[in-house]
Amino acid sequence: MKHNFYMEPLTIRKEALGDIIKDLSNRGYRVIGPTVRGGTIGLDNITAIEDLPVGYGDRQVTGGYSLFKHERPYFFGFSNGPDSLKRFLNPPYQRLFAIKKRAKGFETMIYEYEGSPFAFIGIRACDLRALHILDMVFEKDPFYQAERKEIFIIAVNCIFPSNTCFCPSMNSGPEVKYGFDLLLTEFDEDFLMEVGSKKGLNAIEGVHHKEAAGADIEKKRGLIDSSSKSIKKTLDTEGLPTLLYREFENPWWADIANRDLSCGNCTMVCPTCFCNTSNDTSSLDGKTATRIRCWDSCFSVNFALVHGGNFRPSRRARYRQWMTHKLAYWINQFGVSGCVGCGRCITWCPAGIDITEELMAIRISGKRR
Amino acid sequence: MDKPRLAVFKFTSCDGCQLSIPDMERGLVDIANTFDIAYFLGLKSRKSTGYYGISLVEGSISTPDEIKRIRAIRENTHYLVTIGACATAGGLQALRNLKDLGAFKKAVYPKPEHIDALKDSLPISHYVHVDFELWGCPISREGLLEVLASFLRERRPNIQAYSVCFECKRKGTPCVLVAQGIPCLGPITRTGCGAICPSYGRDCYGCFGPSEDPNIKSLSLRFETLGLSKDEIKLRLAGINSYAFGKYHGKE
Amino acid sequence: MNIAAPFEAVIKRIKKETRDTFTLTLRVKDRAIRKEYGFTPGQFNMLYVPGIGEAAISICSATWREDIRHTIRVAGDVTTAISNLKGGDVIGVRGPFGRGWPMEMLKGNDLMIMAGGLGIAPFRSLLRQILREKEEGARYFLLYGAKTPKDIIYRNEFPRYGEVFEVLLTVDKADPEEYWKGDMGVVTNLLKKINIIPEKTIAFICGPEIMMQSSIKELINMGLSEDSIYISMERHMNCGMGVCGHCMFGPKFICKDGPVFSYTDIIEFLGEREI
Repeated sequence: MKHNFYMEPLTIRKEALGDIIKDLSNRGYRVIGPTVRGGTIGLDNITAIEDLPVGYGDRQVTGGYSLFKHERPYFFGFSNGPDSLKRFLNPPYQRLFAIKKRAKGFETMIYEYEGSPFAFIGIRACDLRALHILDMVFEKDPFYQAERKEIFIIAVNCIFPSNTCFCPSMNSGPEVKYGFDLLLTEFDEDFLMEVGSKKGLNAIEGVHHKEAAGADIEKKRGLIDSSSKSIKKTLDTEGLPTLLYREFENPWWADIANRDLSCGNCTMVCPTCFCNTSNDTSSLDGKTATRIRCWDSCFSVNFALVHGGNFRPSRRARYRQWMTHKLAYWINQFGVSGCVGCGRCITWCPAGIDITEELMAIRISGKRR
Repeated sequence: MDKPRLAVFKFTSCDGCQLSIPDMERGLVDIANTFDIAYFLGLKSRKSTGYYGISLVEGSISTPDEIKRIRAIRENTHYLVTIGACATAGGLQALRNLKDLGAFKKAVYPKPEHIDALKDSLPISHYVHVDFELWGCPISREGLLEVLASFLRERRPNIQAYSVCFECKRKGTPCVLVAQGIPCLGPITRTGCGAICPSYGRDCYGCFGPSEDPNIKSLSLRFETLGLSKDEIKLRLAGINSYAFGKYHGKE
Repeated sequence: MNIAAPFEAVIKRIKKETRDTFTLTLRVKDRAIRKEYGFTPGQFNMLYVPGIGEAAISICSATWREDIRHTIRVAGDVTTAISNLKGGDVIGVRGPFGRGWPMEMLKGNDLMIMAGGLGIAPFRSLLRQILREKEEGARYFLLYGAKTPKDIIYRNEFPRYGEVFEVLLTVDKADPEEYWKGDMGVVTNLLKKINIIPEKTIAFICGPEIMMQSSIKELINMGLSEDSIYISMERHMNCGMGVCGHCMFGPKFICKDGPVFSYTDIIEFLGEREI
């Protein structure tokens, strides 16, 4: 993707972000941004900069997450928490339609999205890639499209990546290159701000700003470079997708199955995992029914159940399905890997299973076979 | 059309699950409107015998007399549903299955010879065919309403057996295990409660029983890294659903 | 129109086909939708019973008919609920979904249809189409296997298909009192009884996965090229439009990339364990 900048970069005081948030609220947006919740940084409603996790940092390891305080009051001094845009654009419980029975037939009421358009603050490059992917997955889905249509995005260049991040391997970060209305790079004293759309330009109309100096651009470059260098985890994409198509019977899948909890956490936190199930609920009197689409996972035992049998009865096959879909099938389906390198599945796996290491193990044991 | 006849029976249990029916308030009205509540001692003293369309059975089987009763109920029931951990998994009282019943009797009763109890407290399904098992201690009202609604519409209940984690993540509840190192049983416990405990920052203790494919060994390894001893881990599982978890863990 | 929500259709006719299958004739209630609705043979609809759920069922009516037909086997909750409906009752429909049979391949080729069991249903609209507009000089074969003579679906229609197709039927087993005079055994056995020109034959197959695999093997042995074979696959379909993930088969979404696939598109994954 090409750089898509609307005008020369600016600098703004950090507090000016508060003005932008207020302005977006006034324009009718529902502003969503990072905020501290139960010892984690989640995405939730934001009304002022006080709601942001100012000064917080996070430590993420395989199967572990904790918060700490920076010495400086950074606004975005942390990496991604468990939430991503999919929580809002493809909500965990999506009501599709309600049915009212009539004497002959039934009346269908489709749930149209009536909420305010979302404005997302603090979105990283990996999650923008994930958004781009969800756009393809849900291209024909009227519910996603309705919630997606009018969104506003304030992205940030990720300069505090975590230990479980590996976006450079997936070529999806840490630098934001597309898909934003406004883009922030956090300096010690102020933000470098870049404008990516007309909407973005309108949003900063009343905000006091300065034209950025050449030194600011260099500073941004330097921060992104050192962020990139600090990311040590890698996922070797060499030979994908065909590598995994050769390894369906690799014995390592059974080894993973011994550790795999079948708990579904990886799929729930993955910003691109989209699997769901629609079900009807009916009232006792049988006069009304509602069809609800709910996040599901290829880790549920019955996910591939048909009348007459289950296509994936073993845990081994279910983990293989997830990883092969993510890293291989996805490339055939959408022309891009389903993995954006955000590392959420690694951090939030209670069993500490690391997709990058498991792929490596499959690769090595495949060579040995 | 005649309303289907509903019966609620109690075996060895605390009454908590059946009491969730009157506790439903509005839901109780709906149930009374759609079912003929033929037998429910917790609600009305008049007993109407005969054949029941649906029987909700609470409690485990722990005496010889109870075996006879559940068999008779099965014969007179079209669709038999167990409600709660006792009926579905033997309940808390199934802890006695791990030890010597005689010693318990002696410790508790002055004249233990009057106590006619079976050696084990077992789930209903050990003795008769069960059409659907609704887990939980206590069951969730939503779950029970779904069982009743699905019975009326002649479909399988839309009740899942995957882990509590699904529910935590959908609700956006921070993971107490990963973020706080609390030994939460959520990853191996069946969903259905609404993931209540983690939403209050505490660990799941498995009151909905094992999930559809629980990897107890793997979670135990994680608990060990949190500093729990093997005995402490065993104790975590030896609770309300000890009998059900024990089936996967091996009786120890 | 929101493709995630059903439109109403009235059941005009219910015809019992076999002990566990029946054919529904549906008339879409809304005139505009009825006129607009069009499909290619091999596509499917999601049929909906409020309060129960949806099931993916292939369309088996002729493409030019306004009424939509589905042949259904009673299997799960939804199909059971449908089987309890009566004429005049209303059912929900979403569709059509998926990719049907590659009609463009019929041009200048002979066609071999192989069906097993209910696998004949996705062919019915194709059969109708060919009866109406067959290619000059082309040869058509219809090989169909059912469990028993009683399980043969569209039994009365085969004489008509026989006017254009060389029709061969087989059953797994037959009771003596059924007076079955046809073949017994698997559908692939029928291939031995016909002469084909492999270079100009395309094959469309639908049936249980194991039957399709053995049919493919046999056809390739006879000299058909891999890219002249098409199969219609089945998985659990929940959304019908590629957003739920249930029907994934390797990298394919059966619901939107299929259900009809060129054999070459899925050759890598067919026969893999627990794919």
